Amino acid sequence: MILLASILAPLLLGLAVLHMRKPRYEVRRISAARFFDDLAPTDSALTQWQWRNPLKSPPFLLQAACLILIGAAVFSENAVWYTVEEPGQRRLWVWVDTSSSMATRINDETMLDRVAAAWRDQNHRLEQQDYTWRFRLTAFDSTQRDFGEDLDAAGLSRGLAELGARPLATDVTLPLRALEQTETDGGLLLIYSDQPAPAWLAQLPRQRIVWHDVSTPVANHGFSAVQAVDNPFQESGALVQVSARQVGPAVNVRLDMRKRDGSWQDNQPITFKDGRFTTLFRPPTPGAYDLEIVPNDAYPADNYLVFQVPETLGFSVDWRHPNRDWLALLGWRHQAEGAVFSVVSPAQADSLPPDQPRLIVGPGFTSTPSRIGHFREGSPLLAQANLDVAETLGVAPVTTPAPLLPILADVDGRPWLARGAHPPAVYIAGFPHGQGDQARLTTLLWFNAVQNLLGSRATAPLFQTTDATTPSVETQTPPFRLDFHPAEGNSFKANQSYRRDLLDAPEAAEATATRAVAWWSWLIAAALLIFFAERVLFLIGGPAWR
Amino acid sequence: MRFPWQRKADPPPPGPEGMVLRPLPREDQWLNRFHLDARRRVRAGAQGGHLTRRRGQSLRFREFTPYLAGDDIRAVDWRQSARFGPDHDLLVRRFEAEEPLTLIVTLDARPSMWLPQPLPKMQIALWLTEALARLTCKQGDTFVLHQLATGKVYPVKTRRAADTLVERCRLAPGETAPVNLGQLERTMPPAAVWLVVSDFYSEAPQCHAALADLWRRAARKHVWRTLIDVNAWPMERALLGQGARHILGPGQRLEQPFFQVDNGVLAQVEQRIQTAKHAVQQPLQLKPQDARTWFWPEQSELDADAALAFFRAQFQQDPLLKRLFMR
Repeated sequence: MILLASILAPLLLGLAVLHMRKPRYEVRRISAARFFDDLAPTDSALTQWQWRNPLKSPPFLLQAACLILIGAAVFSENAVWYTVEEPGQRRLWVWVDTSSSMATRINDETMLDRVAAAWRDQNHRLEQQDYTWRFRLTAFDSTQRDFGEDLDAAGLSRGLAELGARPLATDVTLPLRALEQTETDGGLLLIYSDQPAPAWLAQLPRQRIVWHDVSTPVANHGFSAVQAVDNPFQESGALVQVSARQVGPAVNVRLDMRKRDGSWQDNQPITFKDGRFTTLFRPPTPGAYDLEIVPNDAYPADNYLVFQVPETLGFSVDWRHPNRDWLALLGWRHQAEGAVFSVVSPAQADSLPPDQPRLIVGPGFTSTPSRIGHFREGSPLLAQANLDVAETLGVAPVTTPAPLLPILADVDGRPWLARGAHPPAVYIAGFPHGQGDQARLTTLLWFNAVQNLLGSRATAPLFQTTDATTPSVETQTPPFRLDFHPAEGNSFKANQSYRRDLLDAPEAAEATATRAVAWWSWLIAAALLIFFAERVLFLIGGPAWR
Repeated sequence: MRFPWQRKADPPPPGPEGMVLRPLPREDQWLNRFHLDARRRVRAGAQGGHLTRRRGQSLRFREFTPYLAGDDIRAVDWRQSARFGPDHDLLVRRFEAEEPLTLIVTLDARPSMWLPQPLPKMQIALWLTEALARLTCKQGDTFVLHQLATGKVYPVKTRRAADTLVERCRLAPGETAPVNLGQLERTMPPAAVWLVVSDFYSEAPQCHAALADLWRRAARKHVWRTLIDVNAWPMERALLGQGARHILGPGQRLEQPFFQVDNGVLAQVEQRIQTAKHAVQQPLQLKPQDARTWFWPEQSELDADAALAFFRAQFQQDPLLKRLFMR
């Protein structure tokens, strides 16, 4: 904008200077004009610097007006005014859901086939109206794609035929956001989707949206979640939890699992309970595994998974504490490099790298009971702990290692438990100890501390899901990228349209509609008109216009 | 700011189609007073005068001439013949021949005469013609209007005809149109009065020559030749003012007549005008009393009443016109 101003301002100034040196000749008609013939005009008569010359010059006023209008048009690029659209011409913005679930096949037709059929029916009804319709076509899934802004019915049909489902999720708020961002009312919005109409449609002030849910309820089963889990009681570590869900009538299905290199395979029947099923399986070795629910159903995208079990699945610890009994007892893998956390005594804590998670084990418990002076209610380290039993255990006289905060401490400030956030650190007074309730409590506190440290670890996902930047499936080479959007598979739901038919919208029957016209177009038109008038006057208007 | 389509409302180029010449008002008491005033005066040294001869019997003695065969014997002055003795022929009394006055006004209607717009020279010329025609008809004499360019001659003998002279004033075809004097010469009687009204801006040599030729032939017929030079330069000078001007007018040859007008330019133009007038008038060998110049007021605007007042003043103060109507 500053650049344009710096261009237009010198132009205007130059124009003024040009007219300042151009004398304004006043016309006089006299009988003695012939006696001026021999007085040739001198150079001094052709230039006459005067400040007032531009103001007395009609061409200057027209040319300056032309420049000012062009400048105003540039500066008012975003300004619009509203004008009444011609009667008989209406605008319709058609949005089509192209998310993964639109590939759901029912009776040999996909949801997109249903959209095309619904549009044919809708267009047939629109053609019986007196209006001329102009269409805009936009596809949406997790992002928005425009396919033309000024289409006729045939163009819109061609655009619909070109649409295909993409392996992406559905963002139903996209039409609303687009409606809010556009400065025009855009006419009516007709949205085709297999999702039920969002509740916010009814709260829109202008009520200009028609949401046509093209789906019908259909049974579906498929994976709902797959994740690696860590079990601190198992030294092998590598476990995969598979969750599935079912909507609609129950059918007998089976889970097939196999390693891609053919070295291992397994299967088990799936019994859904309240529509949900969860199982754990242990991949025998690292590598790619294929999981499939058979038989297939209407929505196939959630029936097949492939994931890569990495070499490092499971966990290892860096055990530096001199007491290694519990390392052998739990069967954990001791490995300093890549360890999830380190087990150290308070004296060894300072030797660790500053960002290394750590479990600091104190000198142990004493036989002298201690009274609890401080505890942090709700801390996961104290989950299910019986604090009365804690008072039967004595605490060794050590202070809380800085910068940890005590979670459970006696009246003298000596801690049973303490916790730090950066790096994740837990202090526990000692290894599991004693008999009966004391053993249960100390063991519980121990595993709470271990779970807390394991939970602070970021676990790598087994696979990636498609998104707007990479909307393609990859199942052959790792990293695998799957069309796995669990919200897309909820196909057994009641059809819920909002006005379903465009002609149900009262706005469609209104005699007039408005559309936005930008100021700049009018300003440019006015500038062109003035320019044309100035040129015509220059040609036929005589000396006063030159 | 004036748009091209507004030009239609502006005065078009001078001419009968675009300009309405106003006739002299019928109220002519001032003209009667002028006539009475002129009649009170008697011509000094009437020798050779031929202006006020009337029809009927004349008692005015002109000269003695020797008797020629065929002279009326009753005209012989026996006493004077006896005084000179028998060696001389008889002397016969000769008297002024009484003829009706014929006043011929030649009107130059070239385009330059239809300017300046505040008071066109043609307007003053028309009023002058009408006033002279009325006075002439009042005396029972003959008035003749002659148009210099077309050559047409319109005799006027009644007051009614004098009041329609405005219809005879037509724009000349062009600034360099040849003068047509043939019909005028045939119409011009001996001892008539010939008054030429023009601005003498024409620069066509053939026009000058034709006018000078007739001028000389008219002298042989004892025609009293006079002219009135209508000079509107003072008004046009005021109209021009000073500064950048686009100057338009008849007879102009420049395609881009743009000038920076100042006192120097005005002086040069005035000098050129005088030179042009002199070139026309010098071959006519005018006596000073037979040529008058009517100078326009040095004003850029003049309303109708002021224009008429200007004409009356010029007419009433003009000694040449008074001489026309002396006894």
